[in-house]
Amino acid sequence: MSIRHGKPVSVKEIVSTDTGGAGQSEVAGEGREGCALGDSVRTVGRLKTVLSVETVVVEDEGCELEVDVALSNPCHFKPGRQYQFIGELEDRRNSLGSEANTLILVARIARDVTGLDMDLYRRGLEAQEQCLREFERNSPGAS
Amino acid sequence: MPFLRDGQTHTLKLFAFQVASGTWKQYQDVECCGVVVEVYKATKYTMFAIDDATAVVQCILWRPARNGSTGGGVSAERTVWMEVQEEAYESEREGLALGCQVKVRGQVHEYKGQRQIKVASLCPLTEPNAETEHRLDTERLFRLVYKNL
Repeated sequence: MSIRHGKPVSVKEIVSTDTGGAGQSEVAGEGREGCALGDSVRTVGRLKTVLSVETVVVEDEGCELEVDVALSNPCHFKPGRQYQFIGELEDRRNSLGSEANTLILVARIARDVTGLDMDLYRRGLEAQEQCLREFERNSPGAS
Repeated sequence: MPFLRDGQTHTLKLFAFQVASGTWKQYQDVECCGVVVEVYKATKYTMFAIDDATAVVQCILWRPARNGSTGGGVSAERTVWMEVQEEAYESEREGLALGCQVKVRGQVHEYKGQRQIKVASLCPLTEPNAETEHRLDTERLFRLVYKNL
């Protein structure tokens, strides 16, 4: 399969990503592995602003992230609603040619997930992560 | 591994990475839940891929076969049955769009070295917490049942 799966990460983890090309960053104070430029990620946030038909801003846990939705499936964005995005992390400089050192999520999938229980969602992801680790430990041949 | 103590085969709730890993043998009945990230609609089938945050797994939904339609010996019941099947297929196919969340049941098959699910039933999910519920349930089943088989 040519499409990579979206690794579940929070907006905070994306925002703390090092854009200097140093590879995988670590989420400050949490000891967890963050993400790197070019990664396929899946994130959830509340829509703060619709900047243009191509760009929106989402926030979660006090952190904001710009999302390029030009290539994603049509989704009627409304401020205040929760959205889930799957896409790739890119450096804004690549698309705009500016010196601003900010990350942008180029979404290929956008979904309205208003009503999503975030505590339960995080618990589910932790359980899934645990299962993934255990499965890999028990079947060394598994990818 | 897919057989429980009663000797019967069961549908296993799995994460996509478990299906893709090849640990479960071919023809095993599985259930997966994820977001549709790719759709290809051909004449005889619809191919789509679901992403459940662990991997992307390819699924194939075949158009129901119209056997015996040229032989002239098809009963009225059979014709009605085929029409119902065709309508169900069309409605499932129409509902498949990028970004929608689905629960898929079917058999694991291998095609060109890649695992895929031959879809037997497809259920679109509108409830935003459905994937989380599936995730928690799958993890619980793995921990309490599948791991000990």
